[in-house]
Amino acid sequence: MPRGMPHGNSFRKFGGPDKRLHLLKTLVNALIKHERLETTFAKAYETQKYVERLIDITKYGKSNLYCNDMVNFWVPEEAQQNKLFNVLLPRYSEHSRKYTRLAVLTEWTDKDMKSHGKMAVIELKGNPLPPLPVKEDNPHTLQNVLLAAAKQDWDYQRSNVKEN
Amino acid sequence: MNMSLLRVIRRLQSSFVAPQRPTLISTDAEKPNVEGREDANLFSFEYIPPQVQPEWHRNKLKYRLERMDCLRRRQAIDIPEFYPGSILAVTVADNYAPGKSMRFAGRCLYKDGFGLGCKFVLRNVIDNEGVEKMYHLFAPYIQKVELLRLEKWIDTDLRFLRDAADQSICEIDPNMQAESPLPKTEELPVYKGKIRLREIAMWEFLYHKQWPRPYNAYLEEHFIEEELIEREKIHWQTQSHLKYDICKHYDVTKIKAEIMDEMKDNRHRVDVADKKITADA
Repeated sequence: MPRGMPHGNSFRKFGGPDKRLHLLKTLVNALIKHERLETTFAKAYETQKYVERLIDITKYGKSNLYCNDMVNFWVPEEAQQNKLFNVLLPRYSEHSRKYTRLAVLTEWTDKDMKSHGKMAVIELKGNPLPPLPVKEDNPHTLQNVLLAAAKQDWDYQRSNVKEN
Repeated sequence: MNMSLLRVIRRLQSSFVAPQRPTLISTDAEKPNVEGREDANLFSFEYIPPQVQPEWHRNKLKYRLERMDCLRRRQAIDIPEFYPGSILAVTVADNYAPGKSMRFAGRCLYKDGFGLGCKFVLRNVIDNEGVEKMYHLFAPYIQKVELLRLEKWIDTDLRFLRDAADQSICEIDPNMQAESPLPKTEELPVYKGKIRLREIAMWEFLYHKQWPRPYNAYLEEHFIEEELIEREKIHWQTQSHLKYDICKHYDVTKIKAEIMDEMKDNRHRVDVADKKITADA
């Protein structure tokens, strides 16, 4: 049932509901085409949610009515649709949730450029471009060694369960 | 007695073997419930948790405890399955009414809420006056919920019946006889008829601008096509910012499977919590 007030609404407004969807549509298509974008932090944060949700929907398959409707709206060009289904889906078939990486850039210290605001880079994981200089966790600390071993055990168990 | 007669009787008695009593066992296997109409102890509309946009605000223990409370109430009273559009009669305990209880019959307009807060609204037209009453499904003052007619409509929000041209849809005889509903092993036919509404100037609400758009009502005939601009026509037909906003849609398929798994254990949990059995059993 519809609610009157937007309680718990975690989305930004971006100038109105129709303009917002049009903006996000262009950003999502650009991400799928170029696999790395530099925009403001607000736009990148929103596209992250929509791209991940879109990839979750494509996992239902092309024959699903809902999937077809949504993909035809969000990715109208056929070249990008083919890329979605043939390149990105197999890449993320084992991933569970996070398909994108959001890296925040440093702010301008120059007074003229400071009005541009917080910029960020959003990229799809596993892309063929050179990697971002993102600070990653040290894999040799005790916690990370134990976590890596636990993850290996989990994968082994899951593959065993699938065969059985 | 005559010896030959005795011999005959004994021979018949010795050779007579009573035939086995035929047992009537149905040869068809037990049919499972149809997918939309599961047993209320396993799954029901009000067991689905509400949509929470930042996903880390969810508390699964809280939802599980509420579902256990729903199960406890269902053991005390029989709540039949119904959908918006079906006709119900509810008897409610009232201290100041003659006979200490009050009965109201009506057509269900909508069902909303989660767990013990699940509400439904019944509408009846008495002496040309529309009357609506909201009830909580699991309220302890409800003595009986009778299903008079089971109907399922395509829409789950039938508030446009308030502005129907022909108000006899909601005119329900309180002494109506209950019609036996279809068993849960068969699919319920969905009502696809359309209802005429009053003039648009008398509408309480702009039904053509809500999403999901009502299917069971004639909306197009109230608008003159030439006067509508193309852009506006497409917009209020699709409500694209509601229909295509994928992050705001609620995906229920995985949640439903989880709930059904959980409800199988909940009966045991309820009995342990109420100290009817020990935890080892």
